[in-house]
Amino acid sequence: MNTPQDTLEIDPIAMNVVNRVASGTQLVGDLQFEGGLLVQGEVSGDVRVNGHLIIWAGGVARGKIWVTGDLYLFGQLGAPTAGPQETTMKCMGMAYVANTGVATGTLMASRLKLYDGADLQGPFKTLKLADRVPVLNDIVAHKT
Amino acid sequence: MMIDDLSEKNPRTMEVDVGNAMPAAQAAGMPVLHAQLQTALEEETPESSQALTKVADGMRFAGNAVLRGPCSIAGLVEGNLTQATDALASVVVTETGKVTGDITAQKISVMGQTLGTLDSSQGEVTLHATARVQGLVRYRRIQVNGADLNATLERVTSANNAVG
Repeated sequence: MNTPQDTLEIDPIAMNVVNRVASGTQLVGDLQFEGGLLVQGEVSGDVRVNGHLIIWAGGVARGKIWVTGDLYLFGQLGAPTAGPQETTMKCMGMAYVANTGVATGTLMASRLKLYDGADLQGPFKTLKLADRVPVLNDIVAHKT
Repeated sequence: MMIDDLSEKNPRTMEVDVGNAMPAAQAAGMPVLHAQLQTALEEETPESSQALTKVADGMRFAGNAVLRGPCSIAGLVEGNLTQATDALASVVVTETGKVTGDITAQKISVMGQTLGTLDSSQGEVTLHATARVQGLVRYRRIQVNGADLNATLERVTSANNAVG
């Protein structure tokens, strides 16, 4: 197809993406990130991101993931052959799934934007206002 | 912070091709029913010659339908809309439309509400910002632009397409 592609502009500084898991790096366990996170390697376990989460092409995120900002999925959410129970993502903001993005887990987000070619398998649920009310100790991604 | 894929224009930003959010031509050509304009539209639209099926706003249709061409739902449908085996159908559920039942078609575009299975395993599903979709969505290609979705998505690839 020769149709012009939409482009997403990602500004890591404006988006306060201060954390990065580089390609080839694997982080496993109970993880908490203050500020946005760029995943080019692999993160798994109980992951909490107080900011935006960018899963780059080639990057993988698995487990129970909680994101207070937006999700940008260019890589893989959940293992390729895993079921929807293996990975659960709760995203308080907008979930953008690009044409290279693959999600096999359960995805919950306030809004979903899925681009042509995106591969979303499994359940998706739009979070209602009540699901989005922050609980104690939650830090909202955008303070203003 | 070091990032490999920095844009050349602005070294701070990364520009990434993400595919198309919505087909450009489709939104403009989307049939939207307006009561006062309906008679004029019927004469003018090229689709009227292709046996366009319409369930107008305020109309309720209960039962199953087999479609042989384009279909526009602005009213209420309770039942299944299925594409005829030897034809290609496209279904548009407009903002006022609500379908309780399964839709099977080559092209499905939703701006209203659906409750049931959207099956476009050979074609594409487009869910617009105003869409409210519950149930199962089977697709080969999908585009979602902020829809209210509570559904299980199932991508049909060419490998498992033989079933459909």
